[in-house]
Amino acid sequence: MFKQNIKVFFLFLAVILLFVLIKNGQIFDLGILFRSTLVPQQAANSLLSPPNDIETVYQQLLVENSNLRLLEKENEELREFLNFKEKTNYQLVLTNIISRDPVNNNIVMINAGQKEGLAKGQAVVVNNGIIVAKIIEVSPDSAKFRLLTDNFSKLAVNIGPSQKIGGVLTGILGLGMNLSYIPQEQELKKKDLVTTAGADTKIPAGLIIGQIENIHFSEEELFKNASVSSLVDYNTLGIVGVIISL
Amino acid sequence: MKYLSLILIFLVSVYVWLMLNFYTNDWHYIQPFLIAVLLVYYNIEDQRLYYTFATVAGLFISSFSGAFGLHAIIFIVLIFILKTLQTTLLTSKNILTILLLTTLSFLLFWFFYYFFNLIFDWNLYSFSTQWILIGKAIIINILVTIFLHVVYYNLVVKKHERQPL
Repeated sequence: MFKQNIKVFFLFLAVILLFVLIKNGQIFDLGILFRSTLVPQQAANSLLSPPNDIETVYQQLLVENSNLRLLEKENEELREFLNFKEKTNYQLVLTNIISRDPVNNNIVMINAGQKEGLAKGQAVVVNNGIIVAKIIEVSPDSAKFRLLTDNFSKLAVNIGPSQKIGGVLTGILGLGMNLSYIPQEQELKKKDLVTTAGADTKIPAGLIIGQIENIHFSEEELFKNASVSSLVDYNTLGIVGVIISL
Repeated sequence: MKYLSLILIFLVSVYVWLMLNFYTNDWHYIQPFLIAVLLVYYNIEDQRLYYTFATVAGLFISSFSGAFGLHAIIFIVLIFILKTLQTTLLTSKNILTILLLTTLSFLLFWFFYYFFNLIFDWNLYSFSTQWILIGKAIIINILVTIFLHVVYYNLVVKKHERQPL
């Protein structure tokens, strides 16, 4: 009985020790069997030693990635222009901004001119038909436009959902836009949309400009004033469209 | 039926063990696996079965701990000592003998636990010498073992012994 007990005890002790040794990898690594039979040696080696040019490949991919992002952004902009054109049936000339005036940052040059059908006073739009400027000078191959935020920019606009309130939009030193000559009896609300009035023959009515941010008025004055915030950032314009015929 | 009950005991031990270890507020000093190993030893005659149970239980706990194999070795050493004692000195199978063997096995468990660590220098365990807690847990362990053994003996073993009559 005792001998039998000793035998069984040592048998199980040996089994446990075997397990411990195998688990610690001191007898042999069981994983080697699987790796060598299931996965070809070459594949295992390639995983263990990565290629040397990994750094340069990474940099190339970074450059490629940034280019693709730019292309994606451009594609989105063009797609929006296309939608706008299909919706309104205006004849649109798409053009790139090539420079800004060094003295007055609000005067911008584009690479399309008379040859493309551009003329003074036409509307410059971005994305889904948001007007940002008016053409002020045209040469055969290029043109200049003045942003609505410029001091000398003036545009007749309509305000609010009913579009029955009129006013004049002027720029403030390239920083923002101001609405003036709004009759006192007219009721304005914050976030009201400001759109073009169509008083100018070359600018269609209903192009979005921005929305009302603040309203200023006092009892003594004849007219109300309001500041307007734009829906796009005028400093990051890339591709713009010019409406050449309505 | 014997194998089924062994698997059941093992699963219950796993459940209780995981539950006690889930909240580490000193409940882990209670050792459901050692209780199960002792119960299996007391109630099963087949030598290979209770050694296998002890090995599997020990390896299960070891797989969660830093020193693989420590629990398994302690369990089979305990079984070996108990069996040796039963074949030499404590040959009767009354409740007093069971109580004595249970107490001895729980005390020996902690002795081996620290002793093996001392010899082999398994520094992976964080040993805390909370003797009072260990002592309390030992008493609970012994009571649980005796209770379950008595319940099993009276409800199952006696009934089956009577059957041939």
